[in-house]
Amino acid sequence: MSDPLVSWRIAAEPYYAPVGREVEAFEAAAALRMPLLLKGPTGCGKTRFIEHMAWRMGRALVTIACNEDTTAADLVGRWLLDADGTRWQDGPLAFAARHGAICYLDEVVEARPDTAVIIHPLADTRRVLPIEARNELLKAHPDFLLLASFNPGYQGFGKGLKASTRQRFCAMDFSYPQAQVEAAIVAHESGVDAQIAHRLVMLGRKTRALQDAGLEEGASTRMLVHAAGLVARGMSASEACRMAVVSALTDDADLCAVLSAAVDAAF
Amino acid sequence: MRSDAAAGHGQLPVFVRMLWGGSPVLHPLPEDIHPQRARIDADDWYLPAELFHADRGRLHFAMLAHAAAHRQFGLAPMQRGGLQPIQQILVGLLEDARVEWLAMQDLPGLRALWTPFHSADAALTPTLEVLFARLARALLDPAYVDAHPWVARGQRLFFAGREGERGWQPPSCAVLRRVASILGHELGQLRLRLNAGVFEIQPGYRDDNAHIWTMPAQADGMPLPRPGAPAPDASGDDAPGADAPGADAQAARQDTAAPGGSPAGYAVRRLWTREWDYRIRRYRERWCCVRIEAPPVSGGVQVPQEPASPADRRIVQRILSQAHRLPARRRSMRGHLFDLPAVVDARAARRRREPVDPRVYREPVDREPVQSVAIVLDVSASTAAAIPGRGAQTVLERMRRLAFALADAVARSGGRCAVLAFASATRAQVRLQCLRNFGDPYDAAQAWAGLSRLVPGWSSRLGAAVRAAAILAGEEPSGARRRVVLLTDGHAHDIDSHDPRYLQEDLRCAREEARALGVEVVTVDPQALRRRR
Repeated sequence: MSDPLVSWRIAAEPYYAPVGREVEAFEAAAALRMPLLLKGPTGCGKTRFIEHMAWRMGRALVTIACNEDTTAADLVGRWLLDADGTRWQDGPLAFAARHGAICYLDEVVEARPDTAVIIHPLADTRRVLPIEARNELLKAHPDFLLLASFNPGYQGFGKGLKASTRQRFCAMDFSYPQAQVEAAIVAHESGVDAQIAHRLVMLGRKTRALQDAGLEEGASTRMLVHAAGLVARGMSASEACRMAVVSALTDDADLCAVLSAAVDAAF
Repeated sequence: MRSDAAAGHGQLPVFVRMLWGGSPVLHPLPEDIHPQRARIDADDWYLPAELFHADRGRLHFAMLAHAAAHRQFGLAPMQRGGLQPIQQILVGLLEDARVEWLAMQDLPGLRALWTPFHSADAALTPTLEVLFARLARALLDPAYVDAHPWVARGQRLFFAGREGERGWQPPSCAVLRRVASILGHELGQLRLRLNAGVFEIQPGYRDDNAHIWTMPAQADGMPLPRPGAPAPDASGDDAPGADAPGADAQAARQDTAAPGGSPAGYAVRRLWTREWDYRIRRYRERWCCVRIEAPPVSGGVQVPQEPASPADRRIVQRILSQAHRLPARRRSMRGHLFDLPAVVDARAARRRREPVDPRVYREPVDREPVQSVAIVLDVSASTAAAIPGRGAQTVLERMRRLAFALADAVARSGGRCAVLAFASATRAQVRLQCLRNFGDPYDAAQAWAGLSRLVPGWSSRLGAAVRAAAILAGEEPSGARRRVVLLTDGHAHDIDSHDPRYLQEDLRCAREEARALGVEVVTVDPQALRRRR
């Protein structure tokens, strides 16, 4: 019998540099089938961590990038029309629950409120998914694991998780790694030498101090990896940072000029 | 390093913060101070006045980076005792070189920023000023070779013969003083004298080094202007200075005063709101006094009430609709239930071998929460102007009808609304007339009467009005969808603000602050019927 999850299995080990005991914590929660909420700023490594853990545990990973148009039906599934009539199509959440994959709801607070109601019975001891349209009560596979992530920095804009949802999850806090670890990540992911990686990380950390001075968020590790990648392709560090960091962070011309000057000072 | 003419002064403190942190406030030096060299006074940095009037490219950044290096790596202020003026200048020159070396070890790109400002022309007569400039150049770059024995000796003493070596650290305070003493003494032997009246520190990006001495700053003759505090205005009940707030750090402070000149039972509220100054990238806390008061009970011209036109109703519907597009309930791509007529059509199309419309679902639409809407009318003098192409109808008349239609629509939908009219005359007088409170029972005739009595006048400090309205809307129940609909004829303007960008930037910040409070701000220009979110 063919493996329905084959397309969602991760073939090669995704690189991940642990910054604490998050691997052990994840494994403990997964052993207890506890839903997990991963909190942290954008680009700090949440998704990479989940990919790494899915690979490490040999589980398939179904990722759903939530947005303001994501409804419960998008997660659960729907009836489709075909030449012979109608057929049911599982949504990614139902698919993961049915076959025992890790279901990762990325930026879960972006989804419409009705999605929270859907995940509640899956996220507590019942571990079931009621599929009303099909009159089915789907019992989650023993290997099914529910993960969600969100960036608490965006909560000020009226978005957040309801207490009834939050309290079904254990939570893990992520932040940017320490400079040395972050530099090692940047060097590994891009192939630049340690000195360039270190300088990029120092620059990134300085931008993170500007969050209340015009920037919504500072440069993420992902951005720094992008910049380093451009350097590895032969661009100068200043040019690469302008492209991957400065212009990507802000559209304000004055702020761009100032950030560019700081980039030039760094290299 | 790229010279970028676009660098605005308002963002320059961000550059400092990017280097080694800190948030200095930048001030222009008084123009009668000469020479115009930067001065560092704790977190108040005084830069040559011309930098605030004209773009000098990289000079801004070079000057700020040097000052930031002093603050990050500078020595504790020292006594001038025992040093001649020429030796004091040399201590300053050596200290400049020392902090720049430490700065460049951290941020190597600074060398490329500073070097172009160093001139070391060996062809010039070696006066004291020329030798100082050549020494400054030699200390920045150990590879620079100067033929003058005094400059070469200064370079050797500073680098202690280890220039260019890995791990070299600039000299300590005691060594600096000793080197300055030696070099000063040798200058004396060269019969070179200091003309204090014309001497200028070179290169021009360096500051006056007053901060490296313990001597009181006032003693060397330059008055230090202080940033102005909110000036209390004239006395009287209307004067915001009469009850100027203390030093608490709240963004807005509220006072409730006894009614005075207002209809009975209506308490005047006074809010102290902050204002964003984009030039220094800081908030001016408790900067504007917003007085929320009852409308006049008489005056103006009573205009007969008319029902809202279909066009106005459509506009109102657009304004009050969801922030994002509302999907159709039927024939939708989304949803888990079939929309049967759409399914029948799809099957029929398939049998005819025609393209099938995939929109065959019924989408459950989220129930619209109760709305609390603060309708804010800008009644500044400019709203008395006629709208082009609309005969004699003025902007205010158009706003009045739109506001009435809005209030009516909110009341009909079961929501709550407040109607406010505002105008300002300097930051000390921002008046917000409360024509209708959120809690008032809706009476169409009364609402129209209040609107028809509005008279245009004063200016439009939009940021302060948005902040005050957002505070009022923010007091509404959190379950409600809270919004401020701002009807205004254009850009923010006030008589005490001459920079057109200043109040516009403040308005942008005020909108963001409102959003953080969970209050959505929608701006409507009744002339253009533009809507911005």
